[in-house]
Amino acid sequence: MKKNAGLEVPILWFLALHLSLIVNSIQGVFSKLAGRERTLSPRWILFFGLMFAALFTFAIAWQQVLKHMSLTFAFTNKPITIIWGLVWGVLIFQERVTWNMVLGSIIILAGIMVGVSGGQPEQKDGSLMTGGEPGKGEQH
Amino acid sequence: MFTGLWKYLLIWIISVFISSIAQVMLKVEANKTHKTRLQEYLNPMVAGAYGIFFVSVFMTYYALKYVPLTYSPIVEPLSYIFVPVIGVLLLHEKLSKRRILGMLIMIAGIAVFSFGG
Repeated sequence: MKKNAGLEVPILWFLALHLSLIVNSIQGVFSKLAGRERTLSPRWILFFGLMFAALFTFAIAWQQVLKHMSLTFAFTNKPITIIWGLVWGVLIFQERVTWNMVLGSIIILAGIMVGVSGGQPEQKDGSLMTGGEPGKGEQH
Repeated sequence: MFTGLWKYLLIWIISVFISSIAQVMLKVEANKTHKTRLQEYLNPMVAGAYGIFFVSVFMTYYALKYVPLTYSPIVEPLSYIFVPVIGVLLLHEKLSKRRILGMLIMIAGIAVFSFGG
């Protein structure tokens, strides 16, 4: 699979990682929508169900994503969910954005860009870190 | 030794720590080759990891009854320290200086995001 020169992982798996993190952030939207409804009302059940569906989808996707990259690489990208939470808050709930949220988002993005660039790190034994490509791991 | 607020803060920190351990458990299982796709999910390690996430949610819920939510920007980003440290120690992943710098910048960003305004 095609690799981006600046990344540890193929670009398609990098996109898959970010798609899974978007799903992870959407889970909070459904949770908040459920919180606005009367407990056990049809809409509460709908939003609660969608929250679990998002959680389930993320869990499935996360395990696949982890097969193709190191945990530290995946986790370096995870704070993007804070920024997605801000986007959903503004777009869906018309929440107020303060200057520190915008500045914090820019700093978080800068941190992610610094953290994920720089190519493939080496393992402690000097070999390249593959993040556990299928077939290279221990048989279960 | 730990009383009052500190006791519940410690419970919250432990909950973040054990969920970081669970992340490593998921990665350990992801590194293995399985015969079927279903086995990638239905195995003791993944089930145990999600069990830990479940316990962690309740520990956080319990701690938040006594600890103000304003402590969240201090406690939650601890996972961005715990996971890489455990990843290095148990999975032998190597952290480049650049990645450490990126994570420090992100933690600073989370602090700016959460405070002030």
